[in-house]
Amino acid sequence: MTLDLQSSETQSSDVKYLPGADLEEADLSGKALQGVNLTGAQLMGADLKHTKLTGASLEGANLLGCQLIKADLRATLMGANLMQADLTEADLRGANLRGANLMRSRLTRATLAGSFLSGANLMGCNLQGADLRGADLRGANLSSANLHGANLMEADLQGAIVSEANLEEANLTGANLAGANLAGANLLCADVENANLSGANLAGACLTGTGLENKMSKGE
Amino acid sequence: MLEGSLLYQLKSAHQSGQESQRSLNFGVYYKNTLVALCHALEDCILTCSSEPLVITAFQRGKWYLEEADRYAELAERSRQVVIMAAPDSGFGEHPTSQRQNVELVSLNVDDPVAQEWHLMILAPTYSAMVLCQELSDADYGKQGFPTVDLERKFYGFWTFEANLVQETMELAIAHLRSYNPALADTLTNHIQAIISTPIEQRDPLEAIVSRVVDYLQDSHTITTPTHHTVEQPQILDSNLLSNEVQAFLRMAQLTDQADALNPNAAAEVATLVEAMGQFLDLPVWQLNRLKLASLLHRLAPLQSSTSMLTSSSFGRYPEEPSIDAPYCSLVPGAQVLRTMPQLRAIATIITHLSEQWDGSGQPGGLAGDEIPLESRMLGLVAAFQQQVADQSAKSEGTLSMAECLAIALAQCHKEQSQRWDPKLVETLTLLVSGLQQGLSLSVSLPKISAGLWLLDSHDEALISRS
Repeated sequence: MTLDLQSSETQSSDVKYLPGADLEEADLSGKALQGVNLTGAQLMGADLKHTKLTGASLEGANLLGCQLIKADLRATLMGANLMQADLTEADLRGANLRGANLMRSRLTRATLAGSFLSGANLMGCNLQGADLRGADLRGANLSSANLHGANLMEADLQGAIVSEANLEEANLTGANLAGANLAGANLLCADVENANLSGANLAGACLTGTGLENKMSKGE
Repeated sequence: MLEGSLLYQLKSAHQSGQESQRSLNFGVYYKNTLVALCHALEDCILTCSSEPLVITAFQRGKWYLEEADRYAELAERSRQVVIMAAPDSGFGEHPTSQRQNVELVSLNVDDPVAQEWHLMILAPTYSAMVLCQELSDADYGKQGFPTVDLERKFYGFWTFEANLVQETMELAIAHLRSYNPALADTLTNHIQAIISTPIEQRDPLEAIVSRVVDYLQDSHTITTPTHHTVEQPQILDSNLLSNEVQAFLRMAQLTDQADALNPNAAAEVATLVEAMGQFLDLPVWQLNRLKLASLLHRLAPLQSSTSMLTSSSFGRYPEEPSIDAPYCSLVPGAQVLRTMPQLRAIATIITHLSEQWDGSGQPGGLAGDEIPLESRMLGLVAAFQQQVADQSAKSEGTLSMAECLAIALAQCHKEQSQRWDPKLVETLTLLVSGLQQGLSLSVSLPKISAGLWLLDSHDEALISRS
């Protein structure tokens, strides 16, 4: 594969193997970087809008504050730092984001179906309208995240921290919330049919319009 | 949800586990949205070709008084209008209240229905309903009760489904029987008369939907500087936008429900087309767009059997040239989608569903790769799904699903290169063999009340021709 980065920061004609590369604030928008190895690379503040990173390895990479709008990130991002990154409408289907730091990142309408987010930090994340169908969110921290209208069908949120999160109108059909902490969460009109809520902490959560509120107050 | 409220009663009757009843999903509505929505659905009474029964709940008499002049006009065109509200001064004295076919029901303040906002309209040719309840102070959480009236929040749902409207009206009648038993009897007779009226054709739904979208669009706060006191204009606007999409989805839902032999067409086509798009490794924005187009594709009179769309009044949308498609005659079902600028790309996809690979199709006579890829895919998958449903219905259970799939696929093979893109028929073949070997696709309708995720911010709005 020949890659043309045409970027002043990178002169290399072969960028397939760039572990630990320093690409801070680089403009890589719209580039085709499939399969590139950027393990541990410094990409702080880089512009990766519409960039194709299918199959890339970004394990432990620093993507703090990156622009990743509509980027194709079906990649390995284990333990990567994506704090405050803009991932609006990014494609993260099946991506490996285990233990990644996504604190306060923007994932509005991003597609995360089937992605691996166990143990990831998603505190204060904006996930409005995101597609998280079947995602593995076991033990992830989603406290104060905005999941308004997000699709969490069949997602695994076992033991996840979802306290104070906004789940208004979210689709939680068939989701596994066993042992999850939903204290103070807003589930107004969320769809919880067939969701597993055994052992979940719902103290102070708003369950109005879910069909659960009357059951809970009767202690069913 | 307040126990004893109509919303609660209806939800309980549709709780999962209740056979034959679809469970109901609720959505969140700001007062701003509800006002526009109700005005639109009410104003459709003025053009309705039959006389409806109208049952409303206004919470307080003062809210009804704000609408009382409009209700005089509505009563003019209605069989009977019932207003339920906790009385305020002047409630009964307004001239509208004095009309012969307007009945007021003064709710007790502690009646849970006095916390609800309802509009139920049932006529032989038109039905619509908004069923909502206001959030309690506790539900508002930390932000507390909003300071601006338009930001007050409600939850519930709205629909065009006649059977649900009738069911809810019956609950309402049972409720108001304790206040006025004679009225309850009269209303029951009205319902009987309405459902036994033979009808040739229902009022055209696309005109109704157009009106709903128009009224919601007019309420957008960002373009209305007079509402500068609103604290969260984006939230109010996305609530309006979400309901504009919902209007179309609910219209498509009716097309499906009216088709006894293929009632899950939209959801099944959407699932198949998404799987096909994944085989072709299409980007997600394109998959999402395809999915929305699938859910709405039956609005266009593709199959001659769904010729319910005959009206030519499609709101105020000017006939602009479409984004990149060559000029061609207008497809009514697709045209109504153009009422919403965000759906123009979808309208283009649907417009070209009936093109044929060899160029002999309509409406543009496009051939080969000139036909938008999404139109080629959706056209093929929709025809395939219809074939499967037809085979399954015709065989009355004697054919297995695998056999139905095989027959439908053979039909697509027969028409490849003439009607269908041969490359796509090949992809479909792969998908079908996957299905026959146990690949399972979970078919589910997206939550209509949260339809917003389907709209991307795709500004380029280009239809791929690759």
